[in-house]
Amino acid sequence: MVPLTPTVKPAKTRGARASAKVTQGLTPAYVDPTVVPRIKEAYKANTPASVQLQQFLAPETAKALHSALSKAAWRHNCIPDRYSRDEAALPAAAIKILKSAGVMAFIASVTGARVTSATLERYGHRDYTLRNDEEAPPGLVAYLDWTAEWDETFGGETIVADENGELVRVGPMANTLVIIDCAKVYPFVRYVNHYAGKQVIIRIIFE
Amino acid sequence: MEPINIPNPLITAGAQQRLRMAKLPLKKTVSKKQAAKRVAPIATKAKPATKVAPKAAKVDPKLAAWLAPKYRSPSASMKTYTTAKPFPHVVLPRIFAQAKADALREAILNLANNGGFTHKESDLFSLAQTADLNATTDPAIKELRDLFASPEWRAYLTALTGVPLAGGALDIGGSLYQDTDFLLCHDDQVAGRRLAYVYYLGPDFTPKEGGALTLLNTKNGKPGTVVHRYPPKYNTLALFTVSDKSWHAVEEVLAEKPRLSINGWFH
Repeated sequence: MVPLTPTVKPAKTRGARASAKVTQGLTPAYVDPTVVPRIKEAYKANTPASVQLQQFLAPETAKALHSALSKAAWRHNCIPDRYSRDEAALPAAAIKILKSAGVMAFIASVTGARVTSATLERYGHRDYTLRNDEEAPPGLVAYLDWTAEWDETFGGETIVADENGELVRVGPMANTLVIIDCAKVYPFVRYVNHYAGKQVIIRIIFE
Repeated sequence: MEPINIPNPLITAGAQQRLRMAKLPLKKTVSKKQAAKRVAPIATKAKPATKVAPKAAKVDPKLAAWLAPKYRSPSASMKTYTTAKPFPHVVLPRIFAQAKADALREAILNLANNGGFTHKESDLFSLAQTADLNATTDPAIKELRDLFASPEWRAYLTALTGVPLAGGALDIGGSLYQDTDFLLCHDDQVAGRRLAYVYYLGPDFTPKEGGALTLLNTKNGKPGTVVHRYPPKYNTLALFTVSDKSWHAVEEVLAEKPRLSINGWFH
């Protein structure tokens, strides 16, 4: 999946100015009414439908969210043949920031699917998820990646594969919105190896 | 759950790099202090009572050429095996004659250094494997394969484990785990598999170096927590009964040393 990065500067974008009041929390290029259809097109062009949007939140919003997330109460959960990770409820302040920034509305505009809630997941050394062929695929997978620093050799990528091989591989990256249509395929998070040390992947999962 | 393989050029490149690491000579770096900390092998709990000595004398000559003297009576380990928690298993250190083990190590290293292993990766695992060793042309590996396929060896294992094995197929392959490789929790259940085995041919691993075979208990039909942790040791055979409770895993290798084994299933 090719990352789709903002290519339009806010000051020169009419659309961005026009929509600034309602979606000022996003990087202006993602608010541009001419850009959203392009993102939608790029999303649908992939198999499965998928898109990765870097520098998603505007800097001020990102800063506020960072502060709100620091209050999350993490707990480790593990079902060995399913997953190993830390989980937390999303602090109320963080939900408010995301809603006010229009993140849920943006996901709906790209996918047509309504997301109403969000939770937090964190993956460090020895964490992973496994495909679960016994249950139906999860449907829409949408998350805002909040990983501070990561190296691709640590593992932790989100991978979607079918019997013919790998379809999608997305590495952790800060302030990046990832949307994958997993209605027919199973995603998994690759095992995080010991080179990660104490570094962790943080994700805001939209449901 | 059958994991799927993910062909990926990057992974292939990584595998080549890793296999070069396997050319490093195998060194035993375990100090006496570290060795003392190791998990006590279950076999040592068995009572090698003098009562079994007469039976040992009756061991088939084919097996006698392989087995260290203390293992020549399989019934001595049977109670240990069948009552082991969280499911029937046993770990038998220094099971084969030193010369046999050394010849096998040379053979498997030779395979590793000549493209005999292919790196494979899925959600469940990251490791390198050989092709089916039932078709091996290497004399040392073929000798082990023929031993494992023999009625005498199957009878020996049945006497040791209580698992009926007469006439079934043999799965046999080589595995190589290197730094960061792993195998996550699964139960091995595939039609026909009765007894799983792992025969270690790499250097000894300390607990801190990872690569241990871990056995998990079952809670409400799902894998629970780790009950036993067996770091790989040279010339050691691990056996366990395949069932819906045989949840196990291979911990990530945390050291730059190869975890080599010949492993598979008796059907």
